[in-house]
Amino acid sequence: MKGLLIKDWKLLKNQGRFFIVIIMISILISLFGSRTYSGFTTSYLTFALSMFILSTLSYDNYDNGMAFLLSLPISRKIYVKEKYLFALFLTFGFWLIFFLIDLLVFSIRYSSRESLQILCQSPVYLALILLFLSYSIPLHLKFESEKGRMMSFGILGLFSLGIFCIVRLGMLAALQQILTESLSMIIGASAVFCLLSFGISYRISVKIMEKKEF
Amino acid sequence: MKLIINHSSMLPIYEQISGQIKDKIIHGELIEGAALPSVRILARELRVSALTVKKSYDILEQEGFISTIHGKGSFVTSANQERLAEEKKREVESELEHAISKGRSCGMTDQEIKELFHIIMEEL
Amino acid sequence: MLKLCNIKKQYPQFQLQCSLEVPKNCITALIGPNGAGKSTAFKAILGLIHIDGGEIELFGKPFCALTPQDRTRIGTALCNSGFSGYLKIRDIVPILSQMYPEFDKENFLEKCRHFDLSLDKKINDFSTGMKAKLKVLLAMSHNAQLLILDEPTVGLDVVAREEVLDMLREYMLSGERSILISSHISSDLEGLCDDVYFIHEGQILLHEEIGTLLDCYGILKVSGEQYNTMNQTRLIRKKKEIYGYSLLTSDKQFYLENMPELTIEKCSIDEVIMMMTKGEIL
Repeated sequence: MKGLLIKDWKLLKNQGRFFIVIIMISILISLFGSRTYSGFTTSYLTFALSMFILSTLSYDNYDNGMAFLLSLPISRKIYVKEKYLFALFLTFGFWLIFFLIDLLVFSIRYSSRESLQILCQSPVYLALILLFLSYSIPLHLKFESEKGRMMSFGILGLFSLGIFCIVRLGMLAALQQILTESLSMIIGASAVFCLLSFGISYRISVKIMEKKEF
Repeated sequence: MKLIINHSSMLPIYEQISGQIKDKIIHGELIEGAALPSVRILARELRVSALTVKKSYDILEQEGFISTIHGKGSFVTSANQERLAEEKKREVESELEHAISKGRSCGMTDQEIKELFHIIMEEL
Repeated sequence: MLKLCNIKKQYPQFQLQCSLEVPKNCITALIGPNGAGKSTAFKAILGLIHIDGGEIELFGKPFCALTPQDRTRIGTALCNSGFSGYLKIRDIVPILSQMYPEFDKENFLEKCRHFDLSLDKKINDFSTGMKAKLKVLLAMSHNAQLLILDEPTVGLDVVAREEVLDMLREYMLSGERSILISSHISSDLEGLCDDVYFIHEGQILLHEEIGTLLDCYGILKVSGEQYNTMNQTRLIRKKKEIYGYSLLTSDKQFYLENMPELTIEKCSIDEVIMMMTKGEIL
């Protein structure tokens, strides 16, 4: 598995310059961006970068490369394990970098109380990103890259539609009330839910890979 | 080992190999106790299959020209004069066969061939 | 070393059903026209597809009992698949060091230098020939006991092909190694392989030692009348020609001795393929 990690790491290093640019943008936005956008932007960037995990899947499938990869001394389970591990590393790693950048910048720009408010949103975004990956990775494994990508975004779209409906139906106020009442419980449940879905997603991915033929 | 293989010849390759090695032994180019190259090394040199080389080594061993010690390789056995003479006789036999069948195939009768044979023998 | 016992794989338009064996210290060739099932057989051996029936045995173990450790003893070169083209050789070296305990880095880098394979160029930027050489070098870099090479010389010019073949011959000199190789270029195989399996439409039609193929098999070129009067017992295939028929025999010695007036030729593996594929079965 280490070999696979090295491979994916090397592939992403090729995009190294892009990452640096993203980090630079993130710093700039944090420093000069308007307050409403600060937390969201960096989270969005983390989301974009976590998509790179999906791009390593594309790299692997490109030009029939999977056939050779699976002829190496790794089992399909190990292949999936490596992808999920890499996903965790990358997502958490970048999230942490942006979080720390934000922390530094906001402590300079805003009062500590305001900073805290903004920063509290960050873990939520981390959880959402992990959720997104939970269903994207199996989709990418099952279908080809193009299809997989379309389906992932399709589901994201559906989710957004769901939220839009909630707002339209005036249920937002009710939702906000529930949130403020049992916030800590909801946070706890959400964290567990995200980790659980990541775990279930892993199992499903292993099954998909073991069935697939190349 | 300097062997020349003719891939276009009708003579099987393993026979070409064993024949040429036999010649070298008979004419003293390969002396008693000399080590033959390993099967794979010779196969690589000649660009032929290792099984073909093995077949020719097996024949040479059967005919008593070499002996193989497992793990060490193949070596030329002590010169057996009787066997060498037999080998020479065999060569003469096959050449005569060849000449006779050639004669027959171009229309000569057996009588004509016999006469020709005696004439040449007397001349030599 | 490798055994395929009656394996079956069903596709909508095609069915593979074959048995073959690669003994120790042997170079076995699998030849056949495009679409015959060579790649399918290779995929089955490498676990890329699931077979519908039969058994595969590697290193004496059934396929499902193979550990990743066992799989490090296999070296693979596939003609239409390899490492991602965005990687460089320098990137691949640490990957292989991790995956294969017996990866010989010095030797591998030395061979790359010898073949002028730049370490810092992306694989996508290599020529076809260089990509092919790299694949074979990678397969041989970790002391594998079994090499599985799918068309390793495709895209190489004559000189490069001979270099690769010589690398394979040299590889066989040490240890107990075997090679299973498929190729379209039969002339390569004649100077390398020990035995040959000919596969067509998913079935193995012929299995012979290369010596037998080159020494005993032959092509007879006969007129119509000669065909009707000759002994047909040792003929395998017949093909209609302008002059009469060309015939494939597995015992040309018989015809050389008994019917020397016939035109008898040695045949190459290519000709055997042609006759086995296009000729009429006798």
